[in-house]
Amino acid sequence: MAIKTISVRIDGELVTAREGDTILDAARANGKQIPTLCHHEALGAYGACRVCVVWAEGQGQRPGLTAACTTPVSNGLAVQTESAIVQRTRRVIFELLLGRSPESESLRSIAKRYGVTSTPFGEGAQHDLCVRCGLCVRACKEKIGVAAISFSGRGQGRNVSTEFGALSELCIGCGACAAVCPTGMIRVKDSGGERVILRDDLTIARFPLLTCTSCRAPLVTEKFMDLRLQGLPDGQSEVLCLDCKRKRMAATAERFANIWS
Amino acid sequence: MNKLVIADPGKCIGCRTCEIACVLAHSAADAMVRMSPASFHPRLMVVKTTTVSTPVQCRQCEDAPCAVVCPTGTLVLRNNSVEVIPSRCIGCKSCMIACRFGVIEVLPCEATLADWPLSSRMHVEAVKCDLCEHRASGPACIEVCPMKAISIVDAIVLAEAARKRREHAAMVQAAFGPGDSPGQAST
Repeated sequence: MAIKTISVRIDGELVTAREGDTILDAARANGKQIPTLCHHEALGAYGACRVCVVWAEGQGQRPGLTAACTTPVSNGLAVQTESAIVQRTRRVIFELLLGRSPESESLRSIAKRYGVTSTPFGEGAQHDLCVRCGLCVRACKEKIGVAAISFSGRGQGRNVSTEFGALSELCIGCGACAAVCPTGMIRVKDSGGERVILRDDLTIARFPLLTCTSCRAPLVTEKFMDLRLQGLPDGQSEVLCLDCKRKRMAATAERFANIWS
Repeated sequence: MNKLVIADPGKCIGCRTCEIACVLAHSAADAMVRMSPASFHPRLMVVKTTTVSTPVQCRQCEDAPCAVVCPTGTLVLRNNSVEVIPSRCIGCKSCMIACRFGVIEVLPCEATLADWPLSSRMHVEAVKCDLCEHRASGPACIEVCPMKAISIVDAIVLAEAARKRREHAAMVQAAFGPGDSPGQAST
């Protein structure tokens, strides 16, 4: 099926976009920079952080501010990514985010690009690194298929949490949450043959690690190994570290010495 | 059929020049100055055991277990190879478990905010041999190997290697007579 292309005007420039793309997709495909915090190409549009705010007007789009990551493009749509009102709004959004997470390195550096270095908000509020972007929650649920963490509470009390805030029984210890976390709020620590997943300083899951059957190096959690092996066509029962796998490969290669010449 | 970079262990002297060429081919121009043990992540790794030395790298498997288990579609079969779309990686390391050869790694991404579309994320990405698709002259490891031990193999080269080996087998058979071939009825 051919993908329909439509034309959109971004900052006055006429560009083509694919039907079904969001304003963010179309803008980035055409080299326009729009900041994002909660967007990830592998995960669905979410619209939590609002820093991708733009001004859009056109057919079926009431003129106004909208999140670029959740608004689909339509034929003849006109988008302003840097107009005065967009810049002003974006600055306030950054100030609000900084009010909650003033210590977040990545948030500060991206806010600085938009001229925001301090915030009038957040005095007396509880500060932490989490910007409530939901990347960890979505990666765990949508892609790993586990949903060991989710949001709990409302308003100021909204937090990433395990079931009942206890040590998670669902978590498989893959660490994708920590890998996508933009602020370092969620971390994975391996030490002494054990893996702990931390949210801030709170341990949210704890696992003994399976060791490499050849060299005994601690490697991976049993639950994660099981989940991944299910996806493979043939049984790969052995747990091997990268180095030991490569040694096996080299030993196999040895038998084929000189056949390429 | 997929193309792959492959080394001849009979020729490899384990000098690791290929590893350095690989890192440089996948880094910014000033990489030489900034290179450190922590940031040295070649996509092919020289393995040395008591009997063999050879670089090992992605085999661009036809059924690509890494792509099968990847939950985000970061690994795709395209252009006769297994390609990585780094912006899709969520760092779950499923590919590292699935890979039989230990030649795909999820690594902290060196890219800084300045290199990416303005976004606060991008800390990890899956890294493997990409056949140096970005280089007009092909894989850097092949170019620098002093022993000419590394080559790129495609369907044609494989077919030719198989033909040579059949020829060799036929010659052996002719020299020793049919009676020496196990499983064949002798007259």
